[in-house]
Amino acid sequence: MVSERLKAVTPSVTLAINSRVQELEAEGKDIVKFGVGEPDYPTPEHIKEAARKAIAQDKTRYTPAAGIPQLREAVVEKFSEENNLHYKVSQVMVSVGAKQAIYNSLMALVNPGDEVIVIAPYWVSYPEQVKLAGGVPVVVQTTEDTNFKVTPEALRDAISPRTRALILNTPNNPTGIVYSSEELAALGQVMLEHDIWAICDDIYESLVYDKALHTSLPTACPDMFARSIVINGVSKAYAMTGWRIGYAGGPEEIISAMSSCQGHATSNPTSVSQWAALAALQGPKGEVREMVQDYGQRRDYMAERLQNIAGFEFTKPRGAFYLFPNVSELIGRSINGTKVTDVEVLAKILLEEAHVALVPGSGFGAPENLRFSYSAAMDRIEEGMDRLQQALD
Amino acid sequence: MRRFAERMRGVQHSATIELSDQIKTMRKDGREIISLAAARPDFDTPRVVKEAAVDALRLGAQYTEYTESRGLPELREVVADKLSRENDLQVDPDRELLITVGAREAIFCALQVLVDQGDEVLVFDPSWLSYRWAIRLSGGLPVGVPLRQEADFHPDPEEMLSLASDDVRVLVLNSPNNPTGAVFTPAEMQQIARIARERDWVIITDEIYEDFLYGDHQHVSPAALQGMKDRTVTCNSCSKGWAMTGWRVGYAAGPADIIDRMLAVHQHLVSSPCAFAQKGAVAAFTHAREAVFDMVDSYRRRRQLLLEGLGGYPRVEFVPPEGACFFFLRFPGAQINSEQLSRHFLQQCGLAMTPGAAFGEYGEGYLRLSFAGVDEGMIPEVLDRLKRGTEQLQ
Ligand SMILES: Cc1ncc(COP(=O)(O)O)c(C=O)c1O
Ligand SMILES: Cc1ncc(COP(=O)(O)O)c(C=O)c1O
Repeated sequence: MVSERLKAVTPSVTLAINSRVQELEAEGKDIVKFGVGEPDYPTPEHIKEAARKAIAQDKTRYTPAAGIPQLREAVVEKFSEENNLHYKVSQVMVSVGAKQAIYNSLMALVNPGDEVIVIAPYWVSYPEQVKLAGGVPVVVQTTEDTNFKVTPEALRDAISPRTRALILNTPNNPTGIVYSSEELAALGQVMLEHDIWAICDDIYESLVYDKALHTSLPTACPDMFARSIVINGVSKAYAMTGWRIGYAGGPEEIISAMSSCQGHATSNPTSVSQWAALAALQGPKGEVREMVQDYGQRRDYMAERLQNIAGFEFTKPRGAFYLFPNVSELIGRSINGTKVTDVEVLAKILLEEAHVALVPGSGFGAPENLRFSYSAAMDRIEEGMDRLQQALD
Repeated sequence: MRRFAERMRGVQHSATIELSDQIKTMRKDGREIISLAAARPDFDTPRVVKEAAVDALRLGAQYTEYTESRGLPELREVVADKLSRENDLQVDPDRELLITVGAREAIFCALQVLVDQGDEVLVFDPSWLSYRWAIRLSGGLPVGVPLRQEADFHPDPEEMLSLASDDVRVLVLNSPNNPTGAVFTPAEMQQIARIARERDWVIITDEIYEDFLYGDHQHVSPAALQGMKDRTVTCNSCSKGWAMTGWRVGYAAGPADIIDRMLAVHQHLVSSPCAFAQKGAVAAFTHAREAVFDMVDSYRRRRQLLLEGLGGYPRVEFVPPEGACFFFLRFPGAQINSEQLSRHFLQQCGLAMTPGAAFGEYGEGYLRLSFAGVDEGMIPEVLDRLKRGTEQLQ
């Protein structure tokens, strides 16, 4: 009964873990959650206030599918001021999360059978979204050897006459790495040579540490401006995951196609959330800066603890809120009498036995790694690391 | 010329939206326009719903974070209750229900999982235009099944069968119907259901106007008919009933295997609908059912006034709407198409109505008058202008 396209699509692994966690919690278990990439911060008060105001003013009707003009203007300004990318209002749109913005991009660009390059380890949704758009994900594997970055040579090797686009995510989920401006410029050159589109997922842009700087690909390689769709959102930067607001900038024709696709798939994102996102983009950034400082400390703490547990190999990444240690040493061992046959089993044991939720790297195309998110509160990180140490010693 | 995905070719921004842009421009120029175009209720979201959403924001991170991608358990619970009580449909809220970004996403996801590249999908003509584009975006080919004025815009199952090739596996159904206002009878639903069983079709039913019924017309959910639960995806939302269009909360109920696959699409499309909006929807189902009936009462009065005003006026033809919030009007003798008709009424008498062609081939020649957004007090003026504009057509 189910279409061929869907047979190929697997549900999101991260979300599956999340469901199991919710089940265990419903049974009264206390779970330390290093699994889901969600800020543990509450949404800042001035943003909630904007939402309450929108509700009181009955701004609760359909808006244009691409978003309210005020928010689109604020997005234009954001791109211009923070990324040196200069769009017109007709070149940006608002979606139900960055997730839908990426989906829209693929639906607008990809014909059945077109190839889209995805760099492993990747965010779980990319290959699935490519398949949903009828495309073929072509995975370029990266490893610790290149610090999980794709090199221009590896990119060139992956390109075929059917290659349509590359999805690039920096700062990166799940590895936490941040590409430098020079690295991006070099990748941009390869894409220009082969006339390939860049779908740039910049959702973790504001989460960088140790003076790392985020650069957007078309900022580093201005000739790619006309072939790039730059995607961002308020989920991670303003602790607004549940509000469901993302946005995209790109050439007008592509934004227009993306907006018609969205018009028929969902239409506008929640109107109240749009007014709140406007307040986020235009409001004070103090809380956000504090949040990033906090994350920095949590990262340092978690990294230090993890370095002291045998079997977790990694270099400390500079972005997002993830550590992505290689755990191949643990595979083959037994924990509490259960043999660890692969990372999925390892994640399962750690969830069921130690009540620590982690995501196995297999879902990201990295079968030797586990993803730790340090977006949890400091005392939870302490608790979680204690439990891990105990379970693995 | 830039190369875009083939599927986007011809995908248009909705005609309704173009019209609303035109209205905005004319209003800016000082023209006074009455809009009968939008199918959006002019009511405000009920207070209990708004309060529940505001409370949810205060309750902390739980309602500002991603929710379970299936939707908040408490919302699925009340939706399942509602389906059981009102639609005679028993669904397991953990396996047979998905909370979506409006009915739109429910329909879109259902088509994504059921339709393969090149598949034919049956859809009534005229009907809501997003069906056809959502079918295209799933790689399918929409095949129109006419709804004719001679039959009061009711379906002809025989004709439907004759138009369906052997490859058809999906039928999209919408009763009460946008744009014709027809409500399919229980007997018609039975006939359609029988054909679906015999031909092994899945029905995607859009029941967004289920509460908007006039006279003694009844709404039937095809999923509740014998042997249909396993082949029906029921789509609905809070948009129309509770004037919650901007909140974007809807749902799909269907067999567990289809819902499970829809969940996969939904997870990669949007993750989950807005968290506190879902909490608002819980309040809508639990505490605001009466608000819907008050709204329907008001629609009923508007409909009655329009009926009285247009009854016996020979230059406009229509079938009295049985449900939803539309009159589908024809102007015998007019020599122009529906788009020109729409422009004529907008420019000559400041009345905005949607061209029937926007709803399909069989909508040509008609205008859709929506009374969702016009206050009772305005209706005499609407009638006046409508008649004036009609006289000018001759
Ligand atoms: C790499 C990446 N892109 C996009 C998203 C989705 O963000 P949004 O909440 O804006 O849909 C996530 C969320 O986890 C992510 O990790
Ligand atoms: C027939 C029909 N179905 C679905 C919708 C969309 O509903 P929702 O707001 O729940 O996505 C509309 C809106 O106009 C409609 O007329």
